[in-house]
Amino acid sequence: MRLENIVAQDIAVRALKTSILRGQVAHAHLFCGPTGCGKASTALAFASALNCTDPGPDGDACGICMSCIRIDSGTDPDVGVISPDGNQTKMEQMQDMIRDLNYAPLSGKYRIFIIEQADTLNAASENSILKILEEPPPYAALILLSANPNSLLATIRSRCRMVRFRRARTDEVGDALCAKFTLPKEEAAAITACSTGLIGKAFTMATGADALEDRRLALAWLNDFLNSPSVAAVRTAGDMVEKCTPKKKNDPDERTRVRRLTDMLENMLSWYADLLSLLVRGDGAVVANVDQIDALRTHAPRFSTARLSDCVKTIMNTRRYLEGNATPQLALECMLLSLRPDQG
Amino acid sequence: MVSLERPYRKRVHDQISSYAQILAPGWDMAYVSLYRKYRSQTFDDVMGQDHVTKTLQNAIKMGKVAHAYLFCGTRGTGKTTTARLLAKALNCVDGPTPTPCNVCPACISITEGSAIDIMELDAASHRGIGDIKDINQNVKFPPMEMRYKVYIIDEAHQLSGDAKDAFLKTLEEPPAHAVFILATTESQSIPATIRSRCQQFDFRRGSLQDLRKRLHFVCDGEGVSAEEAALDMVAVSAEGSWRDSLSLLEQVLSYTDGGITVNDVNVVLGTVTQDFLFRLVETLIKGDERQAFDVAAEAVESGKDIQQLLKSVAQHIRNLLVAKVSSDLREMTTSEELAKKFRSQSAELDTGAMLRAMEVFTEAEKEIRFSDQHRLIFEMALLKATNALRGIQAPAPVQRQAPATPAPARPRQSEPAPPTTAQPPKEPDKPTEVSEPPVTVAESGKQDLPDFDKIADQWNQVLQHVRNIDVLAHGLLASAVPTAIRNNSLVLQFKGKGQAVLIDGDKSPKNIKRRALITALEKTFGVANIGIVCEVASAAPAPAPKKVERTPEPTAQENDSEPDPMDAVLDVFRDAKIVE
Repeated sequence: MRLENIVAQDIAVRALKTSILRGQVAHAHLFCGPTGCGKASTALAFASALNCTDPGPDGDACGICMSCIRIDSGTDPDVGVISPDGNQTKMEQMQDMIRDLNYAPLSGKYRIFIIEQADTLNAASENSILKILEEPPPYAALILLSANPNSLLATIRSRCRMVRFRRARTDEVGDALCAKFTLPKEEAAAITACSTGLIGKAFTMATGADALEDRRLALAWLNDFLNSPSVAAVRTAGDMVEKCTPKKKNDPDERTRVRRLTDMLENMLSWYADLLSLLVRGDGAVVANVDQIDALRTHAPRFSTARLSDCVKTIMNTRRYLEGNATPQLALECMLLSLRPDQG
Repeated sequence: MVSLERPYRKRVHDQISSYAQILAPGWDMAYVSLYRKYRSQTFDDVMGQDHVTKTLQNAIKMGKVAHAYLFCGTRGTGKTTTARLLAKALNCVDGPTPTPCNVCPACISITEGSAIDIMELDAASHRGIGDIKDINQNVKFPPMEMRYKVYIIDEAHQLSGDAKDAFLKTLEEPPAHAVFILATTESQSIPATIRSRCQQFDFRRGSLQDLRKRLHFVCDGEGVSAEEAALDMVAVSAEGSWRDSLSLLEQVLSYTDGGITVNDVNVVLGTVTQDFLFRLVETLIKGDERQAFDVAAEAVESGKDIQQLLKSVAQHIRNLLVAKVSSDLREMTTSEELAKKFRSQSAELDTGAMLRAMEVFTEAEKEIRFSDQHRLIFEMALLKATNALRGIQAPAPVQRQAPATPAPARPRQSEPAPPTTAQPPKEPDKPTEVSEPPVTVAESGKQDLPDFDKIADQWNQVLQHVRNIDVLAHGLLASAVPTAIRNNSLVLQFKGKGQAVLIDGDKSPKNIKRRALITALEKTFGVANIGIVCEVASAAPAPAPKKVERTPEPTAQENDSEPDPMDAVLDVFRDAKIVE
């Protein structure tokens, strides 16, 4: 992986490259940005660039030297990736890292540790890395990744050079998709709409068809429901629950159903977001669900802004209820009943 | 490679950062972060902590150095730095001196972190009782090279409970050659037993001016030029922490070529320009939703992080609030021009509206963590904020009640406001205040009240009815006395605020207690929907209860004689009802 291949993070990549070129690499970085925006890939690419034996003139890795190949295949002894052990990253893991950092790198210039999901560090492990984070050995490069930097200790944040990752723009996601996969135009548009600017999410969707199918159904059902009498809520909710319940009995992943349902709600949210945008901004609106534009145009005038914000709030609350183990059928029925426009 | 093992020779020495010695020869010394490079090396260089450094210097001068210190303060205010300085001051070749020379072997080894008599213990990764036992055992041996053995125990709040207790005896009566310095960001988790054995120093956050001075100094040292406003922004974002300010500066430096500009800072910190914030809030004040969405779209489509955006907007409104209530804007900005802009925008708003808008944005910032629909949440916040800034409560639907009798006191001027809050009320004279709940209430569709004397006479009967409906409500009302009829509402005086709030806090029919009272009044006097106003008895003796007032008497809540602007609004919208 090379920094050059990172999509849509020009600011972050530029800052990283510049720091390598000037020899001003910070000993601790905090990469922050939503899950799926490319933090982990960038961290690996940055590690390659740091230890590359034949770096390019722009500071990027060559991608073909021994070190780059090892890092790509995850076998480099100088690059450690620490991910949470269960729900937390534990103090023992941090102490192992601190111990390992006492040894100079074996082949490369830096000994690099990438701490994934740094917000899962528990209080003790967070505190235990404060000193090493402030004054590590000169060959150390620590990279913390976090989607929620605010939940880290302020003392940790202040010791790191923060690198911000952003969500990609719609066109960037589209381009990245086209470059990597060959997809029908409509499908690409749908994926782009669902990805909310997260390249990682878009790629996962492009490889598995489930999410796309779920989105198509969710929006179709929602449209149907808005055009039928309230009593249809029961049927629609039933359809949703049935679709999302795993076919196999005793599915090991109990959470599948909730996850799929909440993904459907997320799709509906994005649809309502487009409605709001259309309603307020009129023709100037940029719509995420491009494939739905006709349905959106028909429905938008039937809502008022106040009504729409109520709908949005209802969907958000329902998602929270589902995650809190509410009965899906009941929760969805209630939700659907309050999603109707002002008139009709 | 022999030296690799060195850090393990002694447990405490794990933390001594003498890595220079274990590096393979030929490894060029790495880049050192700005906040390490510019760590203060003399007491005079430590900024903003005069109360600490002066005290310590005087103590050294007079030979009255305590054996244990506790340094508290938020991150990046100079605790570890000062601890190391104290170690140097005590051990400098020139004898304990308030101005360590920084050139003698002792000073140099302390700066390098290789001094054998200075134990810098990371209490967060060595938090157990075993680590403290090591100290207890070793402290009795006199220093090897220096005058004092100095134990710097950083992150002391992380010591386990047992470790803290095991430490007490040593901390109280250590040998004469030992000095302990405990540093922590969480002084509240240091038990009183440790606190009482130490001299405690609280480190302050840096002021904007101090931070800027330091940033200037560092920029000069690094040979980069910087725009004043850019440094201002960095200093503000640092929130009073010196380390943060330098981390941020470094972050910006790694992005820029040459000088630091406002634009660079905005790009790197993911923030938006002041101009953008002023424009956005302007549209919100105007209540122009479409324009607000357009302005927001600008930022969103240029890839700004929405969470950061929400934070910036909330911060901006907070700045406006400060500009409104305080004349001192030095902690916000050093630019006079910007301060003027803040003042002029804040003049268009009243504090209540600003508080509500701020709430909207901080609420949205919380919400955004649980959803991927960032843009949607931002736009919703904008909608709510337009309402909040206009002085109308956010989307909670306005309740409409059909009037019980169609006989309003005055002919209606206009149709009642539509239930949605999408349109502004027709020309309110000034921004309306909705923030004072206990003062006014208007129950729609009320009839003429019976005479006050009649109510006062039959009050016991009313209470009896209440008791039959709701015993708890009766308990609440037991302390209440009807004092007057004002504005066509019955005024009740309560002894305590608690009871008054229970009756008056929620004016919707959902409030069972209130409903019970209204029903009881209806049963007694045959008049439906009697308006009720609750007051809390002030310290002065309550006015004689049997007195009919037709004009409002100045009370604690209504001291000024100006008519309540709310009344004017209520006159226009007869059917409106104040919804909390």
